[in-house]
Amino acid sequence: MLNKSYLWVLCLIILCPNTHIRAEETYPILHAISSKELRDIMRRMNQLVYEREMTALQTQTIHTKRHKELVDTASDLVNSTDDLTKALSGLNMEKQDQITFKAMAKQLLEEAKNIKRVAEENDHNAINSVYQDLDNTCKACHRLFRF
Amino acid sequence: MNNYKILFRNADSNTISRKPPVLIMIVFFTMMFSPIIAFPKTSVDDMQVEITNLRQRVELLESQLNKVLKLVNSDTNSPVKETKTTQKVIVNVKEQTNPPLIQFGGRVKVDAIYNSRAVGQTSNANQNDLVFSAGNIPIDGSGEKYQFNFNARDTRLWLTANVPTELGVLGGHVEMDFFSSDKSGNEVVSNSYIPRLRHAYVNYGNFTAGQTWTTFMNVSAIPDMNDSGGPPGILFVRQPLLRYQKQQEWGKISFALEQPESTLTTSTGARIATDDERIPDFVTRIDFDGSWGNLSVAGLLRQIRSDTNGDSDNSWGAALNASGRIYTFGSDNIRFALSYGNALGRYMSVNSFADGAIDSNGKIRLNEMFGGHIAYQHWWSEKLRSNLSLGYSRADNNFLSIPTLPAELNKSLFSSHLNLLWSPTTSATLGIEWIHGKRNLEDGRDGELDRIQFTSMFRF
Repeated sequence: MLNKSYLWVLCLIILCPNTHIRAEETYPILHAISSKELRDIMRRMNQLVYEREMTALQTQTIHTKRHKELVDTASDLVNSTDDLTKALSGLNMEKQDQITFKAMAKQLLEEAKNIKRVAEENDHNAINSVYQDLDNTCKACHRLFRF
Repeated sequence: MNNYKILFRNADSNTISRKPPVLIMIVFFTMMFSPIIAFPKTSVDDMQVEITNLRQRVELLESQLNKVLKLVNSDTNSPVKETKTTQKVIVNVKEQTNPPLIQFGGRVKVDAIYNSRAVGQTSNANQNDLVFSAGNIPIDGSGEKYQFNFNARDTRLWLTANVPTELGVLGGHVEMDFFSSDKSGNEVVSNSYIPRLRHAYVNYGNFTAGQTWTTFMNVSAIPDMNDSGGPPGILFVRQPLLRYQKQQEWGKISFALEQPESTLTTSTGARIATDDERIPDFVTRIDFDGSWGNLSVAGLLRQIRSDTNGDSDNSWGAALNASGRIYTFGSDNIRFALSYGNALGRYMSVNSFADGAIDSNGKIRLNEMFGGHIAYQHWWSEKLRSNLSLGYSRADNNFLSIPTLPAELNKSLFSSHLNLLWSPTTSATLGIEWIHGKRNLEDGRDGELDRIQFTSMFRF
């Protein structure tokens, strides 16, 4: 009996057009994925200094490869962040919230562009602080709008 | 006066972009003659007025010059010239941020080691007590009980050069440490040790030539440990090679010809390195690489050969290895390697097993072996990490060829390693490590070892 109830609820969730997540609404989540990937790549680049048996030339080669990944991921982040405002219509927000959301999305976009620029310029000393700014914006936005 | 004429003539013949010399000359000329005009008045106030006038005039000329430069720049708004400007900026940035052409680096590593059971060698200054080698653990309580050692022999120096050529960048690397056992120092007065070659190779395009880690092993699978020897089951060989690597979207594929060397157990129980090879070891490897980590599968083909006492024989052997590093949570990762084959011999467990045995008629029979290790690295914080590592290796020694068993013929080896490493900065690491090892011989005897190793390492 209990199992049947769960099955009915599940069917309702799947069939109800207002409750299930449409594919076109899922793309804003890409910015969070890109941001996580960016963090992982940066962390692994930083940890190359702890490699004991790799030669300096080997770590240099890996560093160059990771750097390319970093630029690509930063580009993905810029693109997915740009898509954030497009998702606004599907989120049913109050007008004031919409203004705040737009402002934060804009700030995030600028910071993502900053990361891309710094990554392209190979300035790894600056990238950590630039990423920290982006991370702070992410956290602030998620605190306000993630339910 | 002639000089002035020459200067004016040059200025007149120049284009608008060369106005600064004219400006300088006007200022200079005015300044030269201003004292003549001003001196008759001999008033300081008048001189100051003149200076103010001159300053204003210079400012006016500068502003006019800026306007002219702006006009010149606005004229160069065509796409081609703009691209040139952009390229120039990018090149400048790269020039500033690229690493230098030649980099000199190294590390100073000091180990304080306490062994529960020591080999106690003096011929190579305790080498087997400083680098963990499960195949050399003292048997049945032999060797010295408890021993403390300090050493800085795992200190390394390296030189890396990137030389731009017409066909691409040529990268070279030379590295040495102080673990040479040929002419060792001693602990009596100066603890002087001679350097030895670890790496000397160049990368040119897809080719690598020189001495470095064998293509058969995956360096990123080596556990992060204070000890430089590693657990049994680890593949650990540096040798001269010629390697071709092709980078792919998913990873890379490598082919290599490497230094051959056969190690055999003779019918009298002695262990020899024949040095009679005629064909290089052949290695092929496929690497898969992604944000999840890396995985490599490698194959090894060798001809084991001996011309001892005029009897020539050779035997072909092969081995397979799968190894890698997989990221789990955050920076945590699993490192592993698994190998099997009848050509593993000197490649596995730091030469603890022979490639095969040779009988009194000079016939070679290879030993089948397998081994592996698994290690988990956990990051407690960005500066603190731990590693737990387990290793095992085993050889099926061929007894038909060796009627006289060697005094110590390894059958299986096991070890466990646990450490805590603290890196207060990226260039410094302090760590403490516990190692437990066990060695089993073919004749049933065994030996165990516990080691505590404290390490201080500074990279520069």
